[in-house]
Amino acid sequence: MSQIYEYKILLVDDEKEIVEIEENILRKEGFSKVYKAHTCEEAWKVMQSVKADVAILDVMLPDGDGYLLFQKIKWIADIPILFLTAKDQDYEKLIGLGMGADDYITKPFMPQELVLRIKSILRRTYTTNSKESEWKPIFNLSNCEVNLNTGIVYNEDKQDVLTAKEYEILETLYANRGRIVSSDLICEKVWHDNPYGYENTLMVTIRRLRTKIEKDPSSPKSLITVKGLGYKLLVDEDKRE
Amino acid sequence: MKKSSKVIKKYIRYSVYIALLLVLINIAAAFIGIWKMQNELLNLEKTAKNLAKELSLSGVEWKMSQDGVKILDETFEWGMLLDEEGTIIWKSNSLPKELDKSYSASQVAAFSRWYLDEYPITSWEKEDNLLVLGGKQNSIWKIQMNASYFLQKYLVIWSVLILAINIFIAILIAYLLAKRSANNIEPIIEGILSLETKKELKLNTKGSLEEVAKSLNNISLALSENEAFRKNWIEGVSHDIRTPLSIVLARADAIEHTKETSEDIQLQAASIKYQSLKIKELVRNLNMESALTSNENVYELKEVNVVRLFKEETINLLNYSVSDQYHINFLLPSKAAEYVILGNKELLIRMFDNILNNAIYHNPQGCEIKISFEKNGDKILITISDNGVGMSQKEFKLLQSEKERTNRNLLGEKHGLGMHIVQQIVDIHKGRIFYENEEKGGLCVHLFL
Repeated sequence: MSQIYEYKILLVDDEKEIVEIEENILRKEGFSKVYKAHTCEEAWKVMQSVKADVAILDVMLPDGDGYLLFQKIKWIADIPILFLTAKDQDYEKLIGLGMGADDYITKPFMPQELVLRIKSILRRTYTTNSKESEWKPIFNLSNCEVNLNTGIVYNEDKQDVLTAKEYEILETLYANRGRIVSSDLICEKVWHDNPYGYENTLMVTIRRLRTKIEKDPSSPKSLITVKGLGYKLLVDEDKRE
Repeated sequence: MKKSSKVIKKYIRYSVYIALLLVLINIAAAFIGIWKMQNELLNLEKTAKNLAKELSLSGVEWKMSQDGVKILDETFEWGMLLDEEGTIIWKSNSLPKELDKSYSASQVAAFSRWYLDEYPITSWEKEDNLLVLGGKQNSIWKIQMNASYFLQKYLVIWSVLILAINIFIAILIAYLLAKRSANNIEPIIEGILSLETKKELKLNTKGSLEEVAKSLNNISLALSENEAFRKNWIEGVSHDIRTPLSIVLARADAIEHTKETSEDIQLQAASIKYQSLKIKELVRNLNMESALTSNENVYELKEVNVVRLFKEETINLLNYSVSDQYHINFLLPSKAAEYVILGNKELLIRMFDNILNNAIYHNPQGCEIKISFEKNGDKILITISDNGVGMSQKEFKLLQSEKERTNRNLLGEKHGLGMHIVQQIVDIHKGRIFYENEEKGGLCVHLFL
């Protein structure tokens, strides 16, 4: 599935207006397959008839709590689930203590945050986890086109093959495109290890990667350094998703 | 037990003092008494000696001088002088008739240091004769003391031993009494101390302090109910307010981003959004405040790398909530791996968010926020500064009073809850926080952890 907006989203909240707002936000963003439910029972029915690709659950539902629904959904389909909670103290319960929720948002939320988190969760689940899926994204940067299926960068006048580490860095950044990814996170993903000690190696690899994807590697337009924090990949979204 | 053993110790100390004081008073009284009595007896003998001098032989008759008669009358009832055979050779006028007789040697021996007809006798040798003086009846108690040398020898040791036993008994009684009252008081003291935690108390309501224990139990019940009510109330309200607030925020955002709405309405929608976000922070802080002040939550402190933690949080804020007019300059220190403290991640993030939010809310037109780290020994200094409007004198005072805990009713104030929570979290981590206005404008927060 190449189009992120094609994914089916299930919204569950007993507050009808919240569901409606979520739906509006997501539809405005371009998601077209949005399903709504207000109780566990309804949600369960929707899950059985339309297999959703991602779900946003309220923790408190009139006919049971969201945790139980979460377990049931995870049992029949391994889809990412994002919790919408009205409590601050839910972090430990949802993510920290291994409930296994993929992310959570505390109410009240900014519409933009909902969109960003949903997109991020979808990309994380369905594009980087690409060992299983056959298809890998092809995308445009300011100066080139990157094909993650072949690991080749197409410039106007040349082609470069990405090394394994460069490929993984680019893949990680692409999954979180438009947002800052901490250098620690990249190191962890790429070297599967304690992030300390790889900073220099990362810098060197990024510099090499830039010679392949940037027109002028000393003033990058696509792979931006966010000083002290990490890196950010800017993708020309309009051309291809 | 600590508290009550203190009480016991104090009791015992005081009883030892009291025992010692009593012993001292006794010894002193005994000495004074003995000394006084002895003195009196000595005085009698001295007077007798003087009287003997006043007696003189004029021809064959013994005579007492005028002064002698005077002294005799003052001190004694009567006086007589016996010769070797026991015959009276001089007598005072006051000598009772029944005594006016001659005495055998055995009689003399019997009364000379004893009583004669119930008159206590003081005698003094005058040449070969004996001056016998009768004291006032019942004025002197004469006892005969026949003690073995054994008693005399051990008298001192005995007295010391008895004193020691006295002191020991005094201490023992004091200890037992103290222990008993401490056993009664101990649970009460501990109850009072634990009132602070606002947990429900269940004291044994038997014993001499029954009433106190009962009333403490009631107080603690009322306190814990009150505490639970307060906590539930805050949790409930903050929970319930979030859903409507989500709707307000989303609607305002929708209005702001609808192309057809006029610029004026867009601005108003933006303002609603901005204020709603403020309410959101307020609710979060209110919740946090409630959690921090309730003593049920004991925050576990684990090793945390603060650079990494704040770095992730900065990224999170930049990616999801902080708008573009705020630029965050994160100065990553070298050897970031070493910036480890004992802390609670959740609280530290809350603290960091609140400091950044403080800068953001004070500078709605945008500003640059600089975050830097320094390490000195095992102390870490985190500096968060902005180039915005800084702080007014009044706000400084508020923050200062917050630090000094002199003003706890800050809820309605501008800096209020957010920075109040920062202070509490800093305290939990045994850190320190300082605020100053930058010379070029803007606020600088120094955080020692």
